[in-house]
Amino acid sequence: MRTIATETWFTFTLIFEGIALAGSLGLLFGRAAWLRWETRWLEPKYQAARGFLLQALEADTDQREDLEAVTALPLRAQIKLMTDLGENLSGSKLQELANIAKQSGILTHGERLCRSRWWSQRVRGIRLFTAMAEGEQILPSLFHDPSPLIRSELAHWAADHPSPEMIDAVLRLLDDADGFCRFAAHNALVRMGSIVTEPLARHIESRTGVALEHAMAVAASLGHERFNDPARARLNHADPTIRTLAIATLGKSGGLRFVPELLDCLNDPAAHVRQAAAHALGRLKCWQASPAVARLLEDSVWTVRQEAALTLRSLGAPGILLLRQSLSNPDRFAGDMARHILGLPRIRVKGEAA
Amino acid sequence: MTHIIGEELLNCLLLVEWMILVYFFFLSSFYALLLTSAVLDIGPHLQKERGENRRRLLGSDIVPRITLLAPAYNEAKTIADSLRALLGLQYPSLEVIVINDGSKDTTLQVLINQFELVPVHPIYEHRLQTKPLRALYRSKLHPNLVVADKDNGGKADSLNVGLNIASHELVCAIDADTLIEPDALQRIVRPFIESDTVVAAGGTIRPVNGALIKGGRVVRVHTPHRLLAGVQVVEYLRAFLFGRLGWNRLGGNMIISGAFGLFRREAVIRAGGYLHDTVGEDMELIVRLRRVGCESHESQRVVFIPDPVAWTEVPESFRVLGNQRDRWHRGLADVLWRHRRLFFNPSYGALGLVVFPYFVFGELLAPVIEALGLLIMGLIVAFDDMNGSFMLLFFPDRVRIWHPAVLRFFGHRGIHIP
Repeated sequence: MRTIATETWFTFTLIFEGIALAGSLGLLFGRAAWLRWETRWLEPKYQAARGFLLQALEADTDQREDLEAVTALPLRAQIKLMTDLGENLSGSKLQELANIAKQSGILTHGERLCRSRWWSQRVRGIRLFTAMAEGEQILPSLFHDPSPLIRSELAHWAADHPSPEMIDAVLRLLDDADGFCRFAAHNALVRMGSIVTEPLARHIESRTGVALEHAMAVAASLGHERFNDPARARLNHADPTIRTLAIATLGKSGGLRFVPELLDCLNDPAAHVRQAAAHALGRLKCWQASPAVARLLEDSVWTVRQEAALTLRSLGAPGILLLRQSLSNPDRFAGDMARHILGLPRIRVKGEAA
Repeated sequence: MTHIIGEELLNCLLLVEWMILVYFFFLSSFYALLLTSAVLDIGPHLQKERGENRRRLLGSDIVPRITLLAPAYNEAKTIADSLRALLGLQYPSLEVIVINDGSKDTTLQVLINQFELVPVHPIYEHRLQTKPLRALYRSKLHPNLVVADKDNGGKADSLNVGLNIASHELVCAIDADTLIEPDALQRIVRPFIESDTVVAAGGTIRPVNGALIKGGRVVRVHTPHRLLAGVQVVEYLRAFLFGRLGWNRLGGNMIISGAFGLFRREAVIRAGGYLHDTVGEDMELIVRLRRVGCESHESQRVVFIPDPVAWTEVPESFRVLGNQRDRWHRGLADVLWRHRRLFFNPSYGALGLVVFPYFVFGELLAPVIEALGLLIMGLIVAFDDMNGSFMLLFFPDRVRIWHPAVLRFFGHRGIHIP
């Protein structure tokens, strides 16, 4: 028999792999047993508590029995139940549900979760308060939380609590290093609506660089006349992205008095700025700008030519007339784009097969 | 004399067998590293995702817009159901482009009839070279549905047509027979919101065999009835949940499945779109995207998230499975050969020094080396007695195959328990 000197090592490795396999199987079946228990024991109780709560909310019955059904559940299930229901309710019914949550001590537990050192616990707490539309006392202190997830959840919460302090806190989140946090802040500000226009205009004035870009993006989404002056002031900004956002803002809310500035932007060196300017003029239905927009049909960039042609089409008769005239434009690209937009068949070039 | 030659031969075989064992030791160690990395990723991900109210995202006006590209070739029987399911995906700003790749059956006619398509003038920039487009249609029933009819040119060519036509900043490439979970787009878009440097993201694909499907949706998950498909269920879990997820922390992914992946359109077009002359066009695109990023000193990240589940039919016969694996392996070899410049090239960072070499040694060569090891072991056993422990060590899959199953089971969408 061939003897292998390291037989002991082989055996050791096999034993180790055997233990790993047994451990994995143990975890697998342990988890299966847990899920089975949850399904058999917890799920009926959860559904019963949910049913009681829904009936109570529907009929305004005595809440004592409902409370017992809820408090009989493990705390994690109580929070899940309240969060699930809260997300689907609003107004007085949500207020009633929040009262039940208070009476049963769930909100007190939520506060403890918000103070936890573990971010996963804090997230659960915030989500509970967001669903219940509560938490004015405890949540504002978490705006400086190190976890970006917590900060983004707070932005969502703040959208339903648009006090001046909360608006300022959400505006500060626009400068956050985390992309999802900035997105949540942007989304929350758009949801808050016109109440944020004044603070946002002030915020724009105080920002430069990337922070200004994020603030301008919100202004462009909201499109309020309060942003017109800050936007006009940034039409000559060094950053083409900011110029584009300024044009988009004016196109949304500026009115015809900003047309001269927008016409100047049609000659901007950056293609997407020219494109945005053409789009804004189309949005303002400024038919007087048609000849200037028609000149963009000869632009070197395809997307600008396309935007110019679409704008001309949206301007009605004057635009269509200029598109038709462009069919005989010596610039082949201008004629081609006009033909595309007018829906005319393509002309075969010389020598091309039929 | 014969005895001495036999002895020498056996010694040589044993030496090779030792080398192969050392190879598998390193490979298994790397698997352990991938597994650890995957575990570190999946825990926080589940905490983030559990209890999140995604309806806020759904109701938002500022989410990135997605164009879904679905190439179709001779899919007349299934296209209507598949398309209805795609149109029903829960995403606020979604455009669906079906590219009829010169089907010889009635695919186009079915689409025209069922979705009331009307011809529209094709206005788009030809940024990628493709086979000629015959016509472009838009649906009267679903304004966000566009159908492109083109000459036959293969899946890569169809996707390039879709990339040309797409009007949104993100594009989701899928196979025509892929079934997507209704909320998958809401989940897969998150990395793109989190970071501007993400150019591609992939999600988990699971075999649909055995599941109950209604109206293009998986309504009840069940393990496949046939052993071969069942084996592939575990294999897919292993590949996606510890293979691809693990790479997020170890240098980034080099594959996003062609069955379901989300891309930044501009980055894909700048990289040149899909290549026509390779069978592994999905992997090739990812390698090229990352390579272009490294060469232009721009961060172009490719991430994998364990959530979004797309379902696909896996082969149930050895012949079809053999053809599929043969195609995949040829694709892998082709892509690695095309981008051989990356091999141990420090200018490409982790991609050149870790990810690419792993794919050469751990993916391309592993089946060959494993087969060689088993063959030599058979020879040694035939010629001589062999240590039992040494033999057992030559079945490296027996332990690691369980780990992704456990990982998955601890996930939020556990394996179905009948």
